[in-house]
Amino acid sequence: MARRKFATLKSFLNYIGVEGDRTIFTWVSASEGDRWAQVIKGATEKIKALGPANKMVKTIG
Amino acid sequence: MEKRLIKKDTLAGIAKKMAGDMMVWAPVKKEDNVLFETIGKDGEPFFAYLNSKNAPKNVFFPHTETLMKFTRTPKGMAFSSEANKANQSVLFGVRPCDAHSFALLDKLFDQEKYQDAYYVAKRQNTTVIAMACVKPPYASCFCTSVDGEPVGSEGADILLTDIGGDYLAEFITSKGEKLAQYFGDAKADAAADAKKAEIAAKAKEAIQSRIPAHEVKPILDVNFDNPFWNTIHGKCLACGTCTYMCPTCHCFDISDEVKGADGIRLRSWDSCMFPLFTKETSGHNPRPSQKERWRQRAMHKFKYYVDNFNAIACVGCGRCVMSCPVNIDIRKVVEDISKL
Amino acid sequence: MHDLITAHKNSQKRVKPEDRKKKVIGVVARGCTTRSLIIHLQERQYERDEVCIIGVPCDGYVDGKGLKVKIGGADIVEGSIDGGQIKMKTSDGDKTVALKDVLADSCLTCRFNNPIISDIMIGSPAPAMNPDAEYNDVKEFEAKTMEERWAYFTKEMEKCMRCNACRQACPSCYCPTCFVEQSQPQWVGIGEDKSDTQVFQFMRLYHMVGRCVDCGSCVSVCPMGVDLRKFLKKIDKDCWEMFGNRAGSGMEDMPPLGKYDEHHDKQDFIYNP
Repeated sequence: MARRKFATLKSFLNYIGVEGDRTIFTWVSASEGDRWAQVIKGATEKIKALGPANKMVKTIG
Repeated sequence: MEKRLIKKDTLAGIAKKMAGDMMVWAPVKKEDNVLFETIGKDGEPFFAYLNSKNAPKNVFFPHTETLMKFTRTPKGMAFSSEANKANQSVLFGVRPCDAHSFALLDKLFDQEKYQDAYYVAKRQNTTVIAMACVKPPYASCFCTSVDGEPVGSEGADILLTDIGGDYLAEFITSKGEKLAQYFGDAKADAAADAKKAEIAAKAKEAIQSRIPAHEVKPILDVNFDNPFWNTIHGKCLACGTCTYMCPTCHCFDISDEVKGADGIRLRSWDSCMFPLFTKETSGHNPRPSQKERWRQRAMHKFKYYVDNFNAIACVGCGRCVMSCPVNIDIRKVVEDISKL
Repeated sequence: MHDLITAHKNSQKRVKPEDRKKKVIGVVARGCTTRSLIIHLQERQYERDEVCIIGVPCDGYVDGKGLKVKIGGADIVEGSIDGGQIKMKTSDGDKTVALKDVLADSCLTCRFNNPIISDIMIGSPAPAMNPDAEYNDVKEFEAKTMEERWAYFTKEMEKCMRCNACRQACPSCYCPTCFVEQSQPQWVGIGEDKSDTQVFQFMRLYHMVGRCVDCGSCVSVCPMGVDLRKFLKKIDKDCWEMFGNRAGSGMEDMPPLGKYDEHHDKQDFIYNP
């Protein structure tokens, strides 16, 4: 079940030291255009507040 | 040959002094493991070690190495080479078996026909200082069976031997002599030489584990299809521990990694124990099971390398014996082959 | 445990479904082995009547690397177990250590040291270990700050040299093609880049949700001594606290990621519900 996977993934990422707030999971129906916009807006603000991700990110060269 | 005596307690100081002037690789205690790492001026080398956990081959042949870089530009691809970027460095305190492994790797990476620029550059710029095994560190040491010696200098530029109160430093090559200034100026006398010879003989005697490494070559020549090969791989997990720990295993894989317009070509270790090692694009695998992979490993060490370079590709360090998760013992394998 | 699945797969290769014959394989199983068998059975790798389980109680096994540290890194030449003591001949003279001091961490806090399922049982049940302490390490680690946890994770992962021994030894890691070995698309680079190693280990660990039985195989085979259990145990703890499931603890249970409990599953991880 996707929701159980996300619950454990969020918790596990947080455990190894990747901010748990970076993992965002929610339900949006295809008919909920307004809600979709709100969720994305909220998620973007949340991520911006955390700053750039630099853990487990690959750089080349 | 230049020979000097140095006081035992000055050894770490010498390594640190060198570290101020060049890059120095030395054994370092890291939690429960002893590993070869670069030490700075304030680094603490750990010379009271038996042998390092992993082989120091990564100094010349790193696990992952950038071969070249490339960038996509409007005018086409731009390439830049990564070879010959090796700095002057010292590999301080390897055991004679590991120093021996460099001589074996040279045969492959530094041949007349093919020269590996990456390996050769590092090898030429690195002085190898070996520390003799006065007492063989492990029961699984078998260097004397594969042309090695616990107090041997093959592959080393300087050999240090603990002769009681002092270390006898022998400068084997001219590369080694260039570093003589770091070793004080107490010249060694004949008594030190005699003492060293005595220690060398004793250490050689102390190596209990022996294998018929030279005898198996003609047997392997004719036994490619022997049912014996069905008997060794049963418990093998197909992990790469033995090959990654081995000082002479040198198989590698090459891959490209690209991000946006930039990319690098990497060389990284590979292992003949992995199923993917020989898998072809079509999906066919000429070595379909662990049986063929194990035969390859044994054959490569004791037959193919002898065919190609007239040397056994094993230095008897015993690392694969000690670190195999399922206790497959190469000594037993060779022993069994000799009885075929 | 790998051999078991491979043997079953090989016996069914190129055989028409109607011509398939059952191949029964005998397994001598400790508690943790039976948990792995249950996971295999739940994941339909073979049928229950294709394995004959000979259950043996287990008093724990010795952590080889820990033993070596205990005796100061000396080389062990010979050893025997006498009562509760391990007597060894080492390069540093004769040494004796108490068995209970060098048991593997996973054994010391084992909850299932007696087989859960078996066809034949041998011996009398083994005394309980100390399962109440099983999450102590995890709780201690959870209490650390984010940066401390990340520092520990990166430090441990830096030891890894990508030999794949952990994956090969794990009874739950049996994918025919591991994600590490896929090249189209390539999930993770093959080199020793820090992020690649971290991603490889993270993904492997995370694949163990509801599947890690804490047998200690990965820890015991790791040549570099990476502390994998610290992370695996967290997954086990989450599974227990969130879903009330302990991997492979009973044939009746469904795998935790294969179901959903409307009344008990928490909602707190959902953003803006």
